Amino acid sequence: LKATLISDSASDDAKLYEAVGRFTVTFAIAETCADGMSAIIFNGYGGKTIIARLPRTISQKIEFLEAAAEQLPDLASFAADIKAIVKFFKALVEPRHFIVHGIFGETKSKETVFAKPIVTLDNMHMVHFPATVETIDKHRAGAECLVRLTAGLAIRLSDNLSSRIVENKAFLKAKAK
Amino acid sequence: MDPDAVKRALRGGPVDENTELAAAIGRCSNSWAHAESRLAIIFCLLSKTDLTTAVTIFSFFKATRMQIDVLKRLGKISPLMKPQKLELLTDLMKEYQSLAGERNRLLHNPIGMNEELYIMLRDKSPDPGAIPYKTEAISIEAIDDLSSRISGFNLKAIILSQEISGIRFPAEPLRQSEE
Repeated sequence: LKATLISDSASDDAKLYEAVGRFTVTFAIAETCADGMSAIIFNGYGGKTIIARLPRTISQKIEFLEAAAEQLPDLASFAADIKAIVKFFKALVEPRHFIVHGIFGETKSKETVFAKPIVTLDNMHMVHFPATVETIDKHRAGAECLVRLTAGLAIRLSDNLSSRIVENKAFLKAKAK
Repeated sequence: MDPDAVKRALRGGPVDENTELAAAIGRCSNSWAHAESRLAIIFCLLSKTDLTTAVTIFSFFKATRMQIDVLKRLGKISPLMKPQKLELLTDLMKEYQSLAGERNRLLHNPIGMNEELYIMLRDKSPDPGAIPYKTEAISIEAIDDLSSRISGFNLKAIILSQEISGIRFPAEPLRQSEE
């Protein structure tokens, strides 16, 4: 086995760590926006008919949003946008998994990679994902787009819900008269 | 939804502008990846399977609680484990649980900046109509401290792996050649 040692957090490539930090926080913001959107759909658009409690993991969130776009009639006019966001999230989940859960390593050809799932003494059971500042920043830019799309849609969903409540109140008031 | 709160959340400023902060988060993230791999090695030793199988199975245990429960249960039934090693494993799992909470809090929540750096955390009992998040102060020092505690945990996990297997593992993970 041709292997050399690296320290667990002492890589001299500070730029790489910076890129990881930027990506991680941007993705966390995107995930928080997805939480907000899920909560609005769950509480205001009939999401409770799909699941009993709000999704926790990113895969549960993706699954919920996908099902909501497919099944909830009140979301019909937003379905295409939700599906686009789901597609975007799906594309970022794997890079995120490697960037956040992978270990920095270096291949024989001196390519720096995130290695998953494990490094051992006597064998290699690893999947590699290129770990360059450019690669990570590219995914980070994707995550930033996702933040804007998801937050924007969450606001639209919330506004739509508010206007429906106002309309319903006006309708009930008129009916009572 | 409060648009101002969304705007604040969208501002990636503190992390974009503060390379030290970004690097601290990156280091913490990578230290944790090592902790996960250490646990997979312990799982491999305790389950007496080959590494590929062990890693494959262990990768399905995504929740921290599940990982801990599996390792503790295996520890109890493994003939390789003597009471002292079991105690080490139990202590290690307690530490892992606590570190996982801190790590998840840092890496799964937005970070922003007002007068000081803050992290946005889900508020379990928000005021009616309010955005269900609260903020808490956070610092680069606190993140670095977490990273160093994770590194300490990783060393202890190596020691436990050595105790279980009788094999001397390197103190640091391997940089691997191409598959």
